[in-house]
Amino acid sequence: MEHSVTISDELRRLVGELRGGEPRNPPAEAPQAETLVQPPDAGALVPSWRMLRLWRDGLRPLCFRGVPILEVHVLGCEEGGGVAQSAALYLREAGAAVFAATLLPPPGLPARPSYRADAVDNADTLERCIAACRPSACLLPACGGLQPVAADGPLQLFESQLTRLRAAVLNYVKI
Amino acid sequence: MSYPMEDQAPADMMAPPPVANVGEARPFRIARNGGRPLRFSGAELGMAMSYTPEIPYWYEINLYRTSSGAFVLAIRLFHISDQKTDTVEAWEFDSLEDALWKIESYDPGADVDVALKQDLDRMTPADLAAEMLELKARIAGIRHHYRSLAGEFLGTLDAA
Repeated sequence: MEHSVTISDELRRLVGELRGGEPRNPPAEAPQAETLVQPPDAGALVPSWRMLRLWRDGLRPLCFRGVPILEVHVLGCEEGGGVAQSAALYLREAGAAVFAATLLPPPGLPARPSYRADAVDNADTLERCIAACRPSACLLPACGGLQPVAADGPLQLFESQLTRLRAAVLNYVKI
Repeated sequence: MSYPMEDQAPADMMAPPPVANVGEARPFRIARNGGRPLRFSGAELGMAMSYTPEIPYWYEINLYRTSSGAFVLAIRLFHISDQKTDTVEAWEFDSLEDALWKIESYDPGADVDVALKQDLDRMTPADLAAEMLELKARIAGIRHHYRSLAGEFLGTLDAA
């Protein structure tokens, strides 16, 4: 991977000024789903809320105060290099949930990284989010769909981990 | 590469090497597909490039500020093959917000070459279906490619 991003000091300054004002086209707010994730009960352990900024393909980062409540990470090595994926479900301080996934293709694969962060307001949305970040959905089309996922490789491991995360979310999070 | 000795500063006084001329004010002329070139004087504020050896094309996103205070965004698609035509789109905006919005809303699906591999009159329905599926996959691939780069640029910018 030989991509690069260069930001000048002037652009940093201008973006800082922009943050101080009201943007004309603010990024869409994540929906405040009332039935999504139950906020912690009074008296329960208070989560350590912190400001999170999650990269998104094609969009400005999704910024919110929240805390991760479920995470899966896969670091694998196969012929040609390593591959790294992660998926997480965040609880927003406002009471909504955010599903985020990162997929870093191994060197040699004709695909670019994928970053997703989507508000989850119902089970259907969660299903779509998980389906969209599966390697078979976001890497193989870029390869012409010709390269199968190795049954014992890290991509397949991530597929199975996603299935486990989905089950955990559906079991423990009321959506 | 070598440099005349009189241009060299002592090693401990040398500035980092320049990166893609970002920040240097100079005249620009951006040739655009289907339109007159966009000419302006200004400086490049930032850039992102998606070159990956295994992929036969790459995108470049360049953001400039003109001497009059406007913002220019250029989105370029380059092909490794000489047989394919590179494309350049460029726009001038009054505000940085508008330029960033354009990065988000740009649809690279329109950059896909839709030329058929065969004579349309000789294609069977199965051929047409196969062409359609391949075209759909290429559009999905290039959209993911561009959006990955745009997200990386906007994410880096947000963290700056």
